[in-house]
Amino acid sequence: MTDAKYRTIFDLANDAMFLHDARTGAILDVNRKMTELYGYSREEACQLAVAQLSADDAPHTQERALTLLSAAASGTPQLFEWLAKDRAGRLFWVEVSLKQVILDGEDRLLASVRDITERKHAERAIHASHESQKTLNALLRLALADLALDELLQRALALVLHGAWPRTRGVGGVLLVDDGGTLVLASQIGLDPLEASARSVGLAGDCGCGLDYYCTPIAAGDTQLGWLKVYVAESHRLDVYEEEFLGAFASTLAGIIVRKRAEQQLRTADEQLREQAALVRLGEMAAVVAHEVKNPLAAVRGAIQVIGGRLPPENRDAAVIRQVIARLDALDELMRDMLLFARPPKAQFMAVDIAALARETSELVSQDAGLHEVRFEVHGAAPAVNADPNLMKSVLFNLLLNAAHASQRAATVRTTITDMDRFCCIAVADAGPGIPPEIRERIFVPFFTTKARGTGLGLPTAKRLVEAHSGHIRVECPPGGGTVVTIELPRS
Amino acid sequence: MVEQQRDLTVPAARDLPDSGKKVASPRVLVVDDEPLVRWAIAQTLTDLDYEVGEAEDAASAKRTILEAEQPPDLALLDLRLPDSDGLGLAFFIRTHAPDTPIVLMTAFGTPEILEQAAAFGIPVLNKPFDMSELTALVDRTFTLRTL
Repeated sequence: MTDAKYRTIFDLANDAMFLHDARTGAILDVNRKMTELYGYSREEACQLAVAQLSADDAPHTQERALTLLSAAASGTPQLFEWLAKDRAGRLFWVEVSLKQVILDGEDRLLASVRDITERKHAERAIHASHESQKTLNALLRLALADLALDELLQRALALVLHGAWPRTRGVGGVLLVDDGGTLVLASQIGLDPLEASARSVGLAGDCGCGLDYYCTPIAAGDTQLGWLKVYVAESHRLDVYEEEFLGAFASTLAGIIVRKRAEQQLRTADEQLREQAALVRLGEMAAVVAHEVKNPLAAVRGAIQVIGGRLPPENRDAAVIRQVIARLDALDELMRDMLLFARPPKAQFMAVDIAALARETSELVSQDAGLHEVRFEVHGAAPAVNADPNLMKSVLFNLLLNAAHASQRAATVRTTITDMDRFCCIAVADAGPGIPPEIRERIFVPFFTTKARGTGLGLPTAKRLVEAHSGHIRVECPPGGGTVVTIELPRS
Repeated sequence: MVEQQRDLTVPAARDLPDSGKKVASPRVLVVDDEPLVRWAIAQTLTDLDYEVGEAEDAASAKRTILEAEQPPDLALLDLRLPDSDGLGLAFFIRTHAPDTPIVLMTAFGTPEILEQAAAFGIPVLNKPFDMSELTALVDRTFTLRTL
């Protein structure tokens, strides 16, 4: 075959062709298709090493290429995929068929190289679709499990970050918009909390995603619930399949979040209803008990008072009778406390100056025998609040008495009134030993008490009465010591 | 316990308009199903020179009022009686003895009934009470009446 004929046939081939020296691997000739695919002229191509036409990134290196060439040179044809690089630096996938040929008596290798970019894309798409389906199925299974939202988010995040695909750094988080409209980190794996919050600030606009992490909106309809943030593996390129998958994942997650929140709301409403029903039953019971106890109490007290009244004052039994009456009165007071908790009177709302009420109540408590050395201070002021002065006085009386009992001798109980935007805030602080964390949750439970002689109804009653004002009450023990009970009463 | 009831006509008979100098003791009717309560009140008020009649339920209280020549000067009623609950007996007395002031006693009245009592100007004593509270209230009622 003449050179011209060889040239014509060589250049007509649909695949890029390379003619290598079987011994050195050097490029001796290339066809026209090769120059079109790689962007080099024939003369330039013949000056290049295989590495310069490759990604030159393990396993697509010069060394690996020479191994394959020498395998072919020893008589075994080679067929493999290779990540190639053109003159402009673009990487593209090719399939290489490497065969030994004898040309003019010389040992040569003929490489026939086919561009398989399209096939690779299709393969990646199929792989991506298969993997996303697997992960989304796992997420849907997770949604059916009886998990709290926090736990569910954590496991959902693990599905994405620790799955076989996409290749992530195992680092990411779910940020959710809270009731106040603030974006908070609801779940995270491997995120530095500080970095997470710093980065999340700019999420809505310029968040820097697209560099080394995806941030995918979690939205239900028009409502933006939050963002899913996933860091990809080092040097991994973001691609459209992963983006699509994360979009589908985030949409599914949005549906689950909405459902979980609705379930939670229902559960809370249900619990509140049950609690209300229990309190109504308790109220009915307390009314019966009170009536059945107070009637005989009235009989005994009245009769014993008449009998005592007939004794001459110096009679020793007269003192005993006074004691009996005091015990009966204590019993009556217990009944009254129980009734106030179990069946509080309906609040009679009017404009109340809380600071004045706090001063008046402090005065009342300070007259209590045994509390003479405790100082009561009232600071701050707020505009009038819509409240029942009698019920609020009961609440403050309870809190001040508790604070005084917790205080050391000669300590100060400080009540601070603060005017908040929508609330009037009343904080009663003592310098006592504080409340151990293990019992802090139980102090609003009826009949729980740490006092030797206490009914355990003071704080539960305070809570009920504050809630009858649509307010909140909470107890905190600051690190500096003491206890602060804070009441928030709505302005109107 | 009917035998414990006193004949309310007797003090009335003593109180003849022409006796002039003799000041009649005011008559108080105590209605409570608890004998100890009735006893304590009767003892206390008798010591203060009141004439005390007793009834253990609404039926005998009504009979006493209807059969007496003159209605009592004051009625002390327990809010809950075996045969009457609430203000029924008080309304009966208002109808048949409109000049008799009423004081209610209660171990635990519902807020509605207490509000109703207040609306009709009927004072309420919460049980248990100190006898000094009772005598103060009774004295005040008579003072108001004589004014």
